[in-house]
Amino acid sequence: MSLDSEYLAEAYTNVRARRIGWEAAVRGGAVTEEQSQRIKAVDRTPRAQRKEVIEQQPAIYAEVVRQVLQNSQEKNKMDVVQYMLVWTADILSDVPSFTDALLSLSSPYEQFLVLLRGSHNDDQTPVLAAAVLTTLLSSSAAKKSDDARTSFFHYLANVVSRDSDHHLQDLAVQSYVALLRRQEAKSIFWGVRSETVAPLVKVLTASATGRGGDGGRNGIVQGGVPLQLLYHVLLVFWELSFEEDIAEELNPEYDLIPTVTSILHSSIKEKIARVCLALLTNLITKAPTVNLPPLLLSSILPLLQRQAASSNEKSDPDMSADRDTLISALEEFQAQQTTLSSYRMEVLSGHLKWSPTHRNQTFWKKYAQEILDDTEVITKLGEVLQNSDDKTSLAVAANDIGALVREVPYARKRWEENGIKARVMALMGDDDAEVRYEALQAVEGFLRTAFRG
Amino acid sequence: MAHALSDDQVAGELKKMVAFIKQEAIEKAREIEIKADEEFAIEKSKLVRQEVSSIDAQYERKFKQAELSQQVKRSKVTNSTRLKILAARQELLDSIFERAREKLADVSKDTAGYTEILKNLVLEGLYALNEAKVNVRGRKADSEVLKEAIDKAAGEYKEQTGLDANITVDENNALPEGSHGGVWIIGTGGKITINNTLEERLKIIQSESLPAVRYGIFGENKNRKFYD
Repeated sequence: MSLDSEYLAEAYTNVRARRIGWEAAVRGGAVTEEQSQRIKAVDRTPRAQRKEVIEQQPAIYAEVVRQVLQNSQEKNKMDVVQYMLVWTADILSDVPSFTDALLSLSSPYEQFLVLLRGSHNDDQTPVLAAAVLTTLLSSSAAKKSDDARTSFFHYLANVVSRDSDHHLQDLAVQSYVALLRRQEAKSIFWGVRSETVAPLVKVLTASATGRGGDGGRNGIVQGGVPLQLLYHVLLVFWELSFEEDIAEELNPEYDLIPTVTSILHSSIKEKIARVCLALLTNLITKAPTVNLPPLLLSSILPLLQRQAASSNEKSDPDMSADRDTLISALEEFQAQQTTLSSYRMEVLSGHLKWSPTHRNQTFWKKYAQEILDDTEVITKLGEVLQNSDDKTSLAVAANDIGALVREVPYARKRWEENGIKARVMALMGDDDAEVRYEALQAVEGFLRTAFRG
Repeated sequence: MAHALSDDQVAGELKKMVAFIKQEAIEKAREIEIKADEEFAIEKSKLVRQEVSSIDAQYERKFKQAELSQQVKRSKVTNSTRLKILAARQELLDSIFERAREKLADVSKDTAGYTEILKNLVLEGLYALNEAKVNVRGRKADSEVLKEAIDKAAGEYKEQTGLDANITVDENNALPEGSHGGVWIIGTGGKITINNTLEERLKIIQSESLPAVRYGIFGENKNRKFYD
């Protein structure tokens, strides 16, 4: 599969236009006479002819490629190297059997992996080598390539984290998309996720919060992130979500759902919305218990329902199908919620908001005892109070604790044990006015009950 | 758009639009491919799992069957060997008793001893019947010794019990020719018979002594559980 990139296309045209003096290369020891003959046989010939010649003897040409790359690298003839890389890439896309031929050499990836390292004045070679590696590693004939994959992911992760160069980033993510079609690659990818997934999440969060920077001088952006890049990153996550264990861990570890839903909200292009919907559908079909609560909380449902109502026959059937699945799953889930379980869900997600429940006295009267018995909720409330940066969550948590103390006074000891009481008192001096107010109220609740029996 | 575009510009715009549409199409096609691959992988693994579990079940069944038939064979063989052993033992016992029977013939040769035996046989019958009148049958060949024995028996009977016994010899119903000796004692006018022939006594000995004979030849029976 071909990588789509202006940058790459430019590089290819440049290298192809160069004329390599093969005789000079032979003299320099980079190429043997025989190899030079073979190359000249197919060099600068019409594509159909080239295809025929190579199809007849793919193994020999594979060997030629390898030898030439090795020798020219040793002699540091980088132009020959680059030419060979571009040449290989072209053959790989024209002649499918060449992929198998290359892969059946012993340790086929060695040569290219070496080239990934590049040198300080040559950043083109790594990119060209990466293009070839992508084609090789994403083919189904690539067996026993776990080590190669890991090293390649390493290199790509490095590129992705270089926020400065969006073109290279995009290219690297496109490689991800191609490589992750294979299931073994997905497990390896997930295994080194601190390197590979974390930067991708950064891209998504940047787009969601609109902090993506200028995103390059030309090209469409969403939230400051170039559209193609965003699209490819979303594709990567969509591919990952096909694995059940990854689908379970994606949200808890990276808090993906709020980010994706806000991208969905503000999506300009249909394809972004399409992949977002596909990703969310995968998450709730593969791991519903983990992912349905946060999804419901992100209040995406009204948006989806509006979109469903306004869609017509011309729109993409896959997309509509995904949207309908999401809507029905969410509606069903919502119908099962009681006020207490919704409250519980909200606390456990860590994102507390000012919903009517929090102010409602009847709610507290009714459920305070039960909530206090539910240690998970209490621990989570304490955690939110300690660790959350979100001012709204802090304020809401403080309010909740105050209400609980007022309703069930004799559980005060518990709050003291957890250090929650101390924390609330500390929050009284917080920057945010709302937080201060709520903390004050909570402390008042504590004091009020302190002097009773 | 109020401006008119030149032909070149139009061609340029068209090219751009075509390229854009193509790009979008390629991307959607890729997405469809990815989804198809994934669904294929899921379906394949499901089918593989199904087949593997059905193969396992089949193997389990076959294994159980084979085990069962092996057990059946084993018990059959055990049974038949046991039967063979029992048959052999029975043969041995039978041969012992056969030899004993053959020896029976010699008993009647020792006249003095045989008379004593006859006397005791008759006496036994008398004690058992406890009647005044008794009939005795013997072999034709024994008629002499029989008379002697009867007299002695009657005398001893009188000594021991003080009763008279009238013992008659039934000349008409002698023991068959093949018999090795002994007597039949008949009382109550022919209604009670006591078979005290040597063959009959051998039979009695046989059944009574069987346990002891078995023990003597085969030793203790390891499988026996109850001794009371």
